[in-house]
Amino acid sequence: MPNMPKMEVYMKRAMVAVLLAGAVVLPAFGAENRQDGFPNGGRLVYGEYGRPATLDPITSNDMVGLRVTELLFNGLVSFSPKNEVVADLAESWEVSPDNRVYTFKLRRDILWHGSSGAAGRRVTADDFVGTLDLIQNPRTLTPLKAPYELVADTRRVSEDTVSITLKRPIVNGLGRLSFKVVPTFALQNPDFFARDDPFSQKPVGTGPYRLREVTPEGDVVMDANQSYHRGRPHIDEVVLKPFADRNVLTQSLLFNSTDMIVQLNARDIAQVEGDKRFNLYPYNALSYTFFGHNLQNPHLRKKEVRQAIAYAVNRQEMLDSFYESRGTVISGPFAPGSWAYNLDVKPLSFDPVRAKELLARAGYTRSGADGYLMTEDGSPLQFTLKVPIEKENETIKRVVLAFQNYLKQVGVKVDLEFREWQAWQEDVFVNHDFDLMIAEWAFDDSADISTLFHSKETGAWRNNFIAYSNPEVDGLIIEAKTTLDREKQRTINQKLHALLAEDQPYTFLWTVTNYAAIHKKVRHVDIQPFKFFTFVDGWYIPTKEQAGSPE
Amino acid sequence: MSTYVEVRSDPTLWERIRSRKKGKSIAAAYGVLVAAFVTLAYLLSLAGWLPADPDAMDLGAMNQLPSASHLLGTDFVGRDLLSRAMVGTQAFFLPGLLSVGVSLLFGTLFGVLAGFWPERFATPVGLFLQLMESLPKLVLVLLVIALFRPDIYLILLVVGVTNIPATAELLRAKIATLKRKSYIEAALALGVHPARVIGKHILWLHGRGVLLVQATVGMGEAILIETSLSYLGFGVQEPTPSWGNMVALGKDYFFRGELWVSTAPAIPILLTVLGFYLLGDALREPIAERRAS
Amino acid sequence: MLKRIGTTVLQEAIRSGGLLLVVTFGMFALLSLAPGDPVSMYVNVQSLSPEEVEAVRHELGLDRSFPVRYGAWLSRIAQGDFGTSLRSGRPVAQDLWETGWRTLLLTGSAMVLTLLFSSVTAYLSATERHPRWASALTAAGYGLSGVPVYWLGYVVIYVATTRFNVFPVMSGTSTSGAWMFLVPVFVLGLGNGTVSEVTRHLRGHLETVLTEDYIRTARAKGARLWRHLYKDGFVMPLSSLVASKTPYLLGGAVIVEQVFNWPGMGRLAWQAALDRDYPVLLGITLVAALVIRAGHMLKEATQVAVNPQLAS
Repeated sequence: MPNMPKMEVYMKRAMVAVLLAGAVVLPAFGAENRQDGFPNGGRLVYGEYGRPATLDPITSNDMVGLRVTELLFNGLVSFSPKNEVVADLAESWEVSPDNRVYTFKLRRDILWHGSSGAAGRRVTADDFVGTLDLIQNPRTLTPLKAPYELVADTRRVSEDTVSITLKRPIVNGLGRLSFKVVPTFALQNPDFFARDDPFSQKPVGTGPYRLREVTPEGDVVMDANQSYHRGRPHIDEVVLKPFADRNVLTQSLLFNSTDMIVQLNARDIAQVEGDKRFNLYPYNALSYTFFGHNLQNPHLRKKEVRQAIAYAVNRQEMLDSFYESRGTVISGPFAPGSWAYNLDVKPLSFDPVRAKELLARAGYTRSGADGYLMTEDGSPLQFTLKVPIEKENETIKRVVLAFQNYLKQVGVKVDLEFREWQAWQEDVFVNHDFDLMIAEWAFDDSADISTLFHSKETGAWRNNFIAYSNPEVDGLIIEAKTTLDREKQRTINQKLHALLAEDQPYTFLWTVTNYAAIHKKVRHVDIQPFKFFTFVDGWYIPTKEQAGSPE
Repeated sequence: MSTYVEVRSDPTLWERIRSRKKGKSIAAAYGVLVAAFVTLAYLLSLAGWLPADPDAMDLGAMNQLPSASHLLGTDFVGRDLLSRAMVGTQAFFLPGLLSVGVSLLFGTLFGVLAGFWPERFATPVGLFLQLMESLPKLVLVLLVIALFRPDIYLILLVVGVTNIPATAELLRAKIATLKRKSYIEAALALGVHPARVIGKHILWLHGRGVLLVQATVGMGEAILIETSLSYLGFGVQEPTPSWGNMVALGKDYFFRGELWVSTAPAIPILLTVLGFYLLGDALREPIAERRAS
Repeated sequence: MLKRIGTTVLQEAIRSGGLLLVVTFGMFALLSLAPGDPVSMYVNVQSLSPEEVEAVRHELGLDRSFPVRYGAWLSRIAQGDFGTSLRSGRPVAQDLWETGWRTLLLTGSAMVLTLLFSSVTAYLSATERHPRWASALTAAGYGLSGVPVYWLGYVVIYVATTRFNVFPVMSGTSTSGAWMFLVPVFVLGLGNGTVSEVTRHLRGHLETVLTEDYIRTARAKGARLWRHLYKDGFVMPLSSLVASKTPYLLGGAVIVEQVFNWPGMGRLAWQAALDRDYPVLLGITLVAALVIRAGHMLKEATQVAVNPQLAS
């Protein structure tokens, strides 16, 4: 079960360093043969909340499963810790002058995972063609359909050259083609992929680790891939232990049943931080939490009301009390780590006096006997805040209770309504039956907010469920999407940020810093913030600390 | 009326059972005390006579131990635990009675049908009861919540329905036992009207114990099942307090050593459920005595 | 004679079949009525056009009408095909088997513990021997079964970790001893709320039996009580109890399974309900209904065996 419903917004990736015309050879990240002198051996056990549904990169749609695929699979390209595109299975590439055709030259030393000991078969261009065809096949149910919709054609040029043609040129398309390759020859049906193909539970990839077994309890046991193209990973074995209770998960770390937790609960950070056995690694996801205002509600349609709500709420206090200040209050529709974030726009301050003024200006001057402001027809000014029910949502509960309280202080009544997760989704996305809602958007690296705020993106299951409509914003959004100039994009986005900060279609809350807790014995830890295990092959455990591994 | 066919009991053993009354009366007294306390808290909370506002938050005083201003301490957003605990009785008082009422009413109906006229009703009723037993309780509650909303009355109504088989089976077995002892035959032979046999003789005299025990068990379960649902996220929802959701909220601070936030509401649960169990025990005893006379 | 057995078996088959049909249909109906569907497990609905979402629904067979889908499931079941989980793609039969016996192990052991504890308590209470022990055990049993079971689990884990430096949660790759299995058994066995019910039930029966003539005769003769007590005092009520607890056997340990990371059927059913994973949920419901039916028949057989005059 996910912690907080994160709605993935798949957008174009915006990367640094566009390379046009001419062949460019980029060195693969990491040594060919691992000659860093660090010892091999040891075992890394990591705990997660929830079980992965499937283990293949095509159908995986949950965070836990996606992280396992990072251990087991690779793609043409990958990303450095600073999010620059680097070569992975591709050795080099060329981009056509019109920015539409990407031709990749593959490395020759990539082998599919074989059974233990036996060497696998070589990866060829056919595999990449097969994978993309698989993704695009209408019968394959995959969340990758949308991001790879822009691929017009994939073609094998030679045994180790593959060319991918896009439907239209996009800025920094290289980063978009980082899909993980699967051996279509090993599938039940090479044309389309369904979850009931045993491959989804017994995947074969090219990654630093190879699946050995999944125990009936759900532990995923993986061995080092001896023939990994970047050199055999140092750590011999990696095991995923899923837990159904977040508190027990943290205890498992503190009592040596696991070595690592990928996403530590905010409230447990202090406890782990004080424990000398562990290192905490902060990493920022491009996500933020917000309250959405349904603009079909006549009161929320007034800008002053929305602004009043923002001024009434003490976001910094909530962040400090509930998240131990580990995060940043945001002012606009981007995460602060994003290149599009406008640092000049400051978050609205906590100013309940100003909030009341704004409400008065909007026409709410009389108060009822219960202390709440009254609307024209004499009823209290009240909104229903719909919250999805989840097992581990204690922090969100604190946030909404505090929110209710803050608004009470300025005379606005908020009713909390908890709904079962799927029912909540229908209320918000389909029926638009809500006044306020709370959620978290998770972006991939691009900053395309078009589906959130463009006036045409309304309708069932569209992301603009608040029915926001602003022609100026519409125009800017289109411009940002169509321009090929990165700098121009940045300027436009910053303008969007300023506009939306003023208009407050959402009450923008914060981005919380994620922390991974890892036992000190694991050294040389590099984390890719969006693809956590990208550099796991470089992690090592000193020989003296390899024994005494958790059970 | 001593026209029953009865078992004469051993006077020695009988005396012993009677002397046990003393220990049992302590238990019964405890049970009654608990019921009184709970009712008092319930009425006070309805009247609004609480030590503090159960919804008043204080972010500067979260998860605190008992103090002068908060006799039971505070919860994860600084609200007074004692007031919330008192209001929490509302989450099981009436809904629990609803649950118990439903399961007893229909349980009696089915139990009597299957017990009194087994040739006609035992099989269909038995099948119907097994049907209800086969539906997983918690899953059922989840789907009902998804369909409607997380309402404690709805939840406990579903729980009440799922408890019908237990009551029905107990009554049926009781009636079957009485039948075996020709008790019913005798009564009918003496000209007592079947309805009266059912109403007075079976239900009132013999079934009363079983039903009362089921009632107390049902109230206990009403509390406990809400705690399980709260753990899974689906119990009574914020900001309404229930003992279950208070324990569930506290559990996230448990392993850090902040045991009180979760334990404070668990104590009334323990004491109350214990009270209901002991009350059930005590209510059963006088019936057993009467039977032996 | 043979004909009678034949008709009885046939009758039984029809009844059981009917029961299974109604139960699974009811569950399916509830699942279909509840808002939401499995589609969001597969794709990010917001990034697709409505036609594409319909295509997904079609691929999953979700666009067919409800009776048609039920019929399709039924015909597959008739051929022994339980289908595959919508969430993991794994065959449902395999999931049922793997979680089923593990759940039975946990709940079965827990029930044994409950019965043991309650039997001892009931016996001591009813026969008046060692009244202090009887009271203490009763109080302990009632107390433990009156707390939220996960709170009890947390307390046990807390004590184990802080006092004994042991983490009593098993996992697949754990080799530190199967004895740790006893911990959730303890929590479930004593904390599940049925200790009081069972104790009271058994005690009631024992007391009744103790006042019966034949017991008095046996005692007067100086014979050991137990031999005469056990049939009516224990076996009869126990078999009723166990039969009535079979539903709980399969699905009642959801909480303990989550806290102690036990891969059981309760947990599976809960996740499947959240996902609307109907093959899994229907499979579980079917198995549960079968087991309950079997439990009832077994109970009747036991009681008839013990007390032949019950056969009507």
